[in-house]
Amino acid sequence: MDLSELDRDSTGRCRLNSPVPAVCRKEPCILGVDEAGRGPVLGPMVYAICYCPLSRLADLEALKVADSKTLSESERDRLFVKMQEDGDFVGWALDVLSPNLISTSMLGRVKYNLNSLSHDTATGLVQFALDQGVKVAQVFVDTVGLPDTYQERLQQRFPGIEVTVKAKADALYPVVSAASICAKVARDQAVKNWHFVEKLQGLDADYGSGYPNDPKTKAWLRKHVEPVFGFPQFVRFSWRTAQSILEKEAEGVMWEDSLTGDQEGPGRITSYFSEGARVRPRLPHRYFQERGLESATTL
Amino acid sequence: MESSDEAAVEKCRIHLRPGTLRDAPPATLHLLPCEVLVSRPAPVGRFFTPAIRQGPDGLEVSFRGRKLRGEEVVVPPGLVGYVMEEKGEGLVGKGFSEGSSNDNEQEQQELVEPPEALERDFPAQAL
Repeated sequence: MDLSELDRDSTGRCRLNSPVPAVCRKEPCILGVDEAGRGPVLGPMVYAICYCPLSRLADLEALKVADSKTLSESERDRLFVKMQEDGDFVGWALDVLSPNLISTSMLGRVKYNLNSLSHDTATGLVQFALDQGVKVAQVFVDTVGLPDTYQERLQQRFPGIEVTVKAKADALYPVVSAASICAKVARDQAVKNWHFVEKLQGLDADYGSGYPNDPKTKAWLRKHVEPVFGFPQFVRFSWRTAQSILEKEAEGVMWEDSLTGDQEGPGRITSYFSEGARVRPRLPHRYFQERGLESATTL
Repeated sequence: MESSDEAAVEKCRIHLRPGTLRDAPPATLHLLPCEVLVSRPAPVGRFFTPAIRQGPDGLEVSFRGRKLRGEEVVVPPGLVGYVMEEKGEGLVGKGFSEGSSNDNEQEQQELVEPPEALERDFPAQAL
């Protein structure tokens, strides 16, 4: 898998795709969506789709993709190579979302949470297949959250397609399992060959599974804290694990939308509807205080 | 500089002879829309500078996982800036005529105030 574009710029997102098999433009196809790397605090998250004509589904099953959860990394690599060899009827595409993209989306002024990012990415990939001329008839999606609203939203978005969203879909539907393999192969390769944009000294690759509850990962994070910059962009800053390590071991940073000591949070919404006079005097936002701005009361 | 909480500090005035700073090596400053709560050395050239990208709408970089958009700002003509460091007996200056100002996506801040380094009070030293 050629992830060289990600090497050049590991700060955004990167799309890879196979050529579209000719037969997928002629016959109705079944398409599976899955992801890899959603939970870890390190490295990218990858969304993948895999599709083939309905008439060739048995051939896809014959690849034994159905047991993807139980496969080792090398077995997955081998299966991915096989899928590429069967490029006359199997197609795939994937989006690699860098940890920097995940952090900045979730920590932006306008909050864009992980679920929304995930759903939009999956939607984008299905649309990509349609734009490439694949005759998508059925879509099967693996989900982490509640399937019903997700399915409704996807179904509305793609009215001509039969959409099924199910937990553990990768164990139920071979196309989803195949997509899962593509996603995992891409994520493993991206992580193994991660290009650190920072010029780091004494970097070691022994970070365990990359999951926030893995003691090896936590130890790696603590080892690679830089007091001012926090972590390299390999780390998802929006993860609570990362945030709490920064709180303890890095210098404090104040942003304009941070809450200071003398300014309480929004409080309960019912406080706006109480009968009596407001107890807390409302201080102007820090933005105004810092610049010496006050409301004008006289002209 | 937040000096309101400090006890009275003895201040001295330093006179710089511009001629001695003429060959100052170039320096780059970055103005960020956030405050790091301490003043200390930081590996800017290793962590920050290599991460700056040219995006479709200008310069982009992330700091602590937050996306910043920036632009290069030129010091107005007739003015010049120096970053002064204490090095043993004397002061060493690095000059800049361009800095980079990084802002959150919603704001534009002008490089109106001099950077912190230039406001610091230096103990009197002979130059």
